[in-house]
Amino acid sequence: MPSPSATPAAAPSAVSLASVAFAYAGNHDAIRLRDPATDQLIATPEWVAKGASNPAAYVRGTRPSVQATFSGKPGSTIHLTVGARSKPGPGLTLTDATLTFDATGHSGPVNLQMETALPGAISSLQLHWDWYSIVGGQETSLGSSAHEILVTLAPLTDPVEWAAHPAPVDPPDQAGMRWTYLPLIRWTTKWATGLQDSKAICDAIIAQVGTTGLKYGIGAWTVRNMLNAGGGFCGGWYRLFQALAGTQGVEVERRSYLVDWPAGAPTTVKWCAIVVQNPGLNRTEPIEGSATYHDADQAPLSKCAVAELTTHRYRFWGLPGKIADGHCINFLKNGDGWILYDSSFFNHGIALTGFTLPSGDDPKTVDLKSQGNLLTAYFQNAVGFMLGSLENSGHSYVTEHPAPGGTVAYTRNGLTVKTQVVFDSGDTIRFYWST
Amino acid sequence: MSGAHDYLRGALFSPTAGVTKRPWTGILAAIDQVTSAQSPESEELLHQVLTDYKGKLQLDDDAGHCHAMPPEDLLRLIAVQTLAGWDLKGHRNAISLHANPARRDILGTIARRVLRG
Repeated sequence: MPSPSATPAAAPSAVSLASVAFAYAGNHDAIRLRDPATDQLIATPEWVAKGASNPAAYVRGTRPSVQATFSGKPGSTIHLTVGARSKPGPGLTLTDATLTFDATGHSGPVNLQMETALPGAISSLQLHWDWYSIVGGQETSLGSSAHEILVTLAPLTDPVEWAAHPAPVDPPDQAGMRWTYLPLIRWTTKWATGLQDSKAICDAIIAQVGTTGLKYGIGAWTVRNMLNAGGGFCGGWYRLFQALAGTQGVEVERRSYLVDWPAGAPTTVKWCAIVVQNPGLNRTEPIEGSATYHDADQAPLSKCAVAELTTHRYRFWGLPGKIADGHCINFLKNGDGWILYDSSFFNHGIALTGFTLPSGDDPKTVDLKSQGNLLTAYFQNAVGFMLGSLENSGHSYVTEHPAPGGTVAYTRNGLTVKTQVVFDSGDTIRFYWST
Repeated sequence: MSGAHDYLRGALFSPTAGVTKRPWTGILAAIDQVTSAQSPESEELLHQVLTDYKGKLQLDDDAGHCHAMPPEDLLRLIAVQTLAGWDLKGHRNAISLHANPARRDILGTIARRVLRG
């Protein structure tokens, strides 16, 4: 059997670039990216000659290493110096390598490092690398490759905070590493280019997230399902917003405020549901079927005029004596205060003062009046009405949900009270707060 | 055996579960009746909701939705709270299935809370 031929002085005219890997096993600098369609990590090598070209992502200021493989004469070995030039952006430092080509003509991986560190700010680079070798002082082209490099502000937050449980299972050499879904990091590096602080990044996210086309009111409650289905309900949106912020290392909190429908069957119930007229992101009308409402928008509630109308609104229902549905939002700590982000219904953050974030682990009811300016700055604008069972001018407006009588599929609204009027009437609203 | 029990079993465990669209209000009405009074049949069915149900409901869009969580999880949430109120000791293992600390959701939070007592 002939031994592999070593041709250290010959020009490697038959050698060409075969692949470039970024997030290869053992490289902890590269951010792990996941495909929402498959829930698998983006395959490495990310770039393959005449094949795949997937992005790579790093934290700003990183000086990445890559692994390249080459094609050449099967069974041969060659000593060379290899590198890559880029226009624009960093190329790859010239590196001495010995390439041994197997029977199919593939070499093992060669580690190369970028010539300089990546930019110090959130950015997206389009690198075009012209690969070359130097043997005996003679330069030879090895081909070219193109790469999308996403540069983030800070390391990813832990996906366990927002991802569905249980987490996807990764190969042993990638297990336990933090990851994000590729579309999320692509979007935020675009929206937050050059931004340096958490609030500015969250503001950019909530202002731009509608450009993704994702909608409110799609039957999805996880980030992955939202990306695949084209949107979700608020239980998905507050995860998505947290995941988006997390791509830039920004930690935000998730909270749900859940309707507190007192147990029993009295004719007076405060409250059964929150009622939202806002159609939600990228919607023109709430998708919930129309229902008949009895609106009260003045105090005193016992005597005010009641307007009956049939229309489309969202109802976020409680259940008597139990914790059930509600609305989900995000919070960012900002100095001594909090910024509220409700990406389902708003395109901007809302500064809160005098607000203490309720525990997410031990749901208890909290009176809205005790939560600083949450009521006036956010809640009255987000939730148009509270639905309850109340007396008005001798008529009992009783909410029935679910309908009595077993499986008859209907719901009857009691009185829908304009949120501000609840407080004008001397009443209040309490919610359970949870993650 | 009541119609509500049958309806809920049909929605969750029948061959047409996950295929036939049902109104969310109908399913809620059924579980409301099932949870309205403690009985061996109701306990068994709610226990099954926590231990055996792995499906996905198909719902009519017009009849309202769950917003904060999937409708399947809301049914589990109702089952957790009801069984904890009726017989926490007897259903502790079933509730524990949804109390994994890695779960960062409403169902996991409430399940952990009721187990703490």
